[in-house]
Amino acid sequence: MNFLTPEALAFAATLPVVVVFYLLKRRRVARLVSSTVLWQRFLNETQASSPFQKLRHNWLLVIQLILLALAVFALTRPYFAGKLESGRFIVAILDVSASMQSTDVSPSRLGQAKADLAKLIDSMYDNDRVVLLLAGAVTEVRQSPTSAKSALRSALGQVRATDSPTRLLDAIKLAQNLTRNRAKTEVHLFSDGASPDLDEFELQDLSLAYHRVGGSGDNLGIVSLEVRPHPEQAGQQAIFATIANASTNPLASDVSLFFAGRLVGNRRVSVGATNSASLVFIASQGTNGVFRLQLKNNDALAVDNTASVLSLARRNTRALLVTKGNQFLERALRSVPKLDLAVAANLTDSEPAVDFVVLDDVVPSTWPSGNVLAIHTQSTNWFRPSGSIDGPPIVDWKSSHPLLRFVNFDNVQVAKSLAAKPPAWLAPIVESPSAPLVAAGENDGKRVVWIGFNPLDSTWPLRVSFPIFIANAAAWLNPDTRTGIRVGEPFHVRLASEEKPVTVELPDGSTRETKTTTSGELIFGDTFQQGVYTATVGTNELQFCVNLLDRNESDIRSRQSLQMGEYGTVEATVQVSADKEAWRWIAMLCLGFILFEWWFYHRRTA
Amino acid sequence: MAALISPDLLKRLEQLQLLARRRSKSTAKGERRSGARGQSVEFADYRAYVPGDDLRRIDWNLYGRLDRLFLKLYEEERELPVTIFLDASESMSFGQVPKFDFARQAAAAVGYVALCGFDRVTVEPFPLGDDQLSLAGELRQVRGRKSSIRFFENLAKLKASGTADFNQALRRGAMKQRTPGVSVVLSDFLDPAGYEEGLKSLAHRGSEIHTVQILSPEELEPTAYGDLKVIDSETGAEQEVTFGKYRLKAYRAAVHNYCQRLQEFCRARGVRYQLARSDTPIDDLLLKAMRTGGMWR
Repeated sequence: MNFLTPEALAFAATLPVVVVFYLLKRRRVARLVSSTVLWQRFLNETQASSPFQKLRHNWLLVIQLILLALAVFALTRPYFAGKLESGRFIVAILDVSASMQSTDVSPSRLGQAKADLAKLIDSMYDNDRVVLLLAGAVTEVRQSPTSAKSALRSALGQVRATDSPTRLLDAIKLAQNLTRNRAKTEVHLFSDGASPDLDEFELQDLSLAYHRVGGSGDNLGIVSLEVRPHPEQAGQQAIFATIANASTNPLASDVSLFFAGRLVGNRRVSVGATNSASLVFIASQGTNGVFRLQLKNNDALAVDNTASVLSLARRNTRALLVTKGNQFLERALRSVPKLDLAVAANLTDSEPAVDFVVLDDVVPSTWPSGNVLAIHTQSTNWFRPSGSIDGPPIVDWKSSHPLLRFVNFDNVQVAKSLAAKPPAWLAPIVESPSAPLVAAGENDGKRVVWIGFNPLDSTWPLRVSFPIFIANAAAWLNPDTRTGIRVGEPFHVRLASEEKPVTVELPDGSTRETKTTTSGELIFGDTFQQGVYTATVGTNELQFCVNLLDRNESDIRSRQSLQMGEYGTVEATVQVSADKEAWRWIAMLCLGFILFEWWFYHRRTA
Repeated sequence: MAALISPDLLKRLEQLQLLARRRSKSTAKGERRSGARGQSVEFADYRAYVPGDDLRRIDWNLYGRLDRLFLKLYEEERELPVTIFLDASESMSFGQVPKFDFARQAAAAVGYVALCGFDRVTVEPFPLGDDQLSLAGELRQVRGRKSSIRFFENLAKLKASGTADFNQALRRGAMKQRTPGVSVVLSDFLDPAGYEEGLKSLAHRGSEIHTVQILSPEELEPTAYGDLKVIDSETGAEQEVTFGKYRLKAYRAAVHNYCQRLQEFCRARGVRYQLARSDTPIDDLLLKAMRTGGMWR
C-alpha cells in the first residue's frame, strides 16, 4: 500500500491530545459534606486513583483513539497500485459576455449559469477531469484540467461578467482541440446562445451539451453611435444612433445625449417589436469631448443602455498629393470637406508635415513614414517585383470595410493592373481572380491604402464611387478618427516617437501601467469594460471610447437551440443526468454521531 | 423533654425492659439478676450450714425431713450499668433532619428505659468540648426514674461540633467501665480512621453492645450532581468526584457494602447492629427495630 499524502501522518500527533483531554482536570463545584468516607469508598469501587489507571478499561477512549487513527489513516490517502478506468474529460464553457449580465433571471444569467456549473462540478466522479473555459470577446482557460473540485469551485467563484460581445466559436474550437483523441469527452456550454458566429462551425462528432440560461427579457439597446460633421451646417456635429428592440413587445424610452457631462439633447423614442429606430442629434462642439448617449429605461440588460463616442473638434485634414498629373484624383481630393491639399511632383521629405500622403503613380526615393494612399506604386519593402495583368475583372469587394462604404464596383472596368502579392497585414478589399486590386491595412501604426491599378487606366474616375472612395480614404487615413473601439478589441495608437511609460485609467477608475513600443505606439488590450479610457503619457492625455454596440448582445432572447454550421443543431439540455454521491452526507452523519456520543458520555458522567 | 420524646412514646417506653443476656456483675443493688447470692425472692440454691451463718435463712422444713441444717440461698439483684456512646461530632449535624437530633432522641429513649428499670445510665458524648465538660458530668451515673427530667434537659443541651476520634472515645469509655454492662453506640460510623479498634476494646470489656448507625438521606442518596469537590466537614479533606444520577446505583452499592461490612464486623463480635435513616420516625427504630434486635422487650 502506498500513500498519496504521507505528510498527513503528522496529524497522528493529535492522538495524545485526546488522552490528555481525558486526564485533564475539570472545574469542580465545591460542596461541604458530612464526611468523605462514603465518597472514597464509592470512588475506590468505581475507578482507580492513579492518573494512568484512569484510562484502563475506558472503552470510550479506545473507540475515540481508533476513530482518530482511522481518520489520520484516511488523510494519508492510501492507495493500492492497480488499473482504473479513466474518467470523463469535461470541457465546461461559461459564457461571460455582456448579455449574461441580463437580470431577467435571478440573480443574473451568469449567476444562474454558475449555479448550474456548480451542480455539474458537484456531480463529478473522482476520476473525472474538468477544464473551465470563459468565452467572452476572447477565450480564457480559467482552470486547466483538474479533478480537484475545490480548485474548480474557487475558479468558478472568481468569474465575473464582462461587457464584451460573445465569441463562442473560439471557445468551442478550443474545446474541440482539447477533446480531440480522447475517450469519454463531454463539452458543456453554459450560455444564452447569443453568438452570431456559430454557423461557421461544423459540429462533427463533438459531444456538446447546451445548458441554456435566461428567458426572453425586454431590452432596448444602443447598437450604433457615430459622430460626423454636419454635411450642411458648418460647425455642427451630427450624432447618429440606432436603438434596437429585439423583444416581441414594442418598447419606448427617453434618450438623452450628453456632451462632456452636459445634457445637450433629449428625445422620446418608441421602437416596435423586433425593430430598430434611428436617431439623429445635432449639436455644436467647441472643444474635444465625449458624446454619451443614455437610454433611460430600466430593462433587463443595463450595459447596452449607454454608449460613448469621442469627437474631436474639427480641424482641417492636411494631405500631400504627389502626382505627375491626375485631374480626377485632385478634384476628388479637393471636394473632400475640411481637407487642405498640397500638390507636388515628387516627394523630397520622408516626413512631410501632413496627415497622409497620396502617391499617384510615382515611386518616391524614400517611402513616407506616415499614412499613405499608394496608387499604382509599391514599396519594395512590402511587395516583391511583379508583372502586370491585362484587363483584370473585378469579382469581389468587401462592402463592409469602411473604405468601401457606399462604394460600388459594378460597372468599373480596369485595363491594366499590377500583379502583386500584398503582405499579410495588407488585406485585399477589391479582388480580381488572379490578384488583389485594392488592399488596405495597418503596419507598425501606419495605415496604408494600396490601389494596384492606375485609375486613369480604368473607368473608375468616371463613376460616382471614385470620389466617395477618395472621401472614405481621406477619413480612414486621418489618424484622429481612430478613437473608438469595441469591447475586447485592442486599442492602438501612435503616441510618441520612442518607448515611454503610459498610465491608462479604466472606466471603473482603476489604472493600468504600461509602456509604448519602441516606435512609440500604445497597444492596450485590457478593454473589457465599456466606457471612456484615458491614457496619460507625460503631460499628454488621450481619451478613447470602448463600446459594446452589438446587435446580437442586445438581443437577449435566450436561444432554444444553437445552429452549428449548415446542418448541425444543438438543443438546450433540460437537465444533466448525473449520479450524485451520498458519502458526504453519511460522513456528516457519522460526525454527528460522534458528537452525540461525546454528549452522551458527558451526560452519563455529569 | 417534650422536644426529645413525646409523652405518648414515653408511656410506651415505660413498659419496656432492657434485656441483658449476661447476669449483672455490678456491686450496687438493683433489679437485675446477678451471679451473687443475697436477699431477694428468687431462690438460687442450698448450702450446708456452717457456724456463724444467719439462722433466719435456715430451711427448717428440710431440717425436719433430713435432720441436717441447710441454708436457703437467694439471688442478689443488682443494677445494670448502661453506657450510651453518643457521637456529637460535626458530621452528625448534617441532614435535613440532623442525625444528631435523631441520635439524641434514641439516647433519651434508651436512657429512659434504663432509668425506669432502676439501672445506672451514663452518656458519653464525643468529642467533648470544654464548654460541655460539666454537662457531661451531669450525664454520668444517672439513676432513678426521677432523674429522667434532668437527664433529658442535659441531653438537649448537647451540641454536635468538632472532630471525633471514634476509636479513642470508645476505648476510653471502655476503660471507665468498672463492671461490664450494656453499651449503646449511636454514631454514623463515618470516621476516616475506622471503627474497628473502638468496638473491639468495648467488646473486650465484656459489655453487651448495641450499635445504631445513623445516616442522613443525603448520605444514602446524594442529590448533588456534576463535577464536584466534596469537602469533609470534620477533617477538611477534599475529594474530587464526578457524579450523576447514572452513577447513583454504584454509589448505593458502595454505601450498602460499607454498612454490610460494619454489620458483619459487629456480628462476628456479638455486637447488635441497627441502621437508621435520620428522617424516619424515631418510633420505628425504638419500638420495632430495637425490639426485634433484642435491645428490649
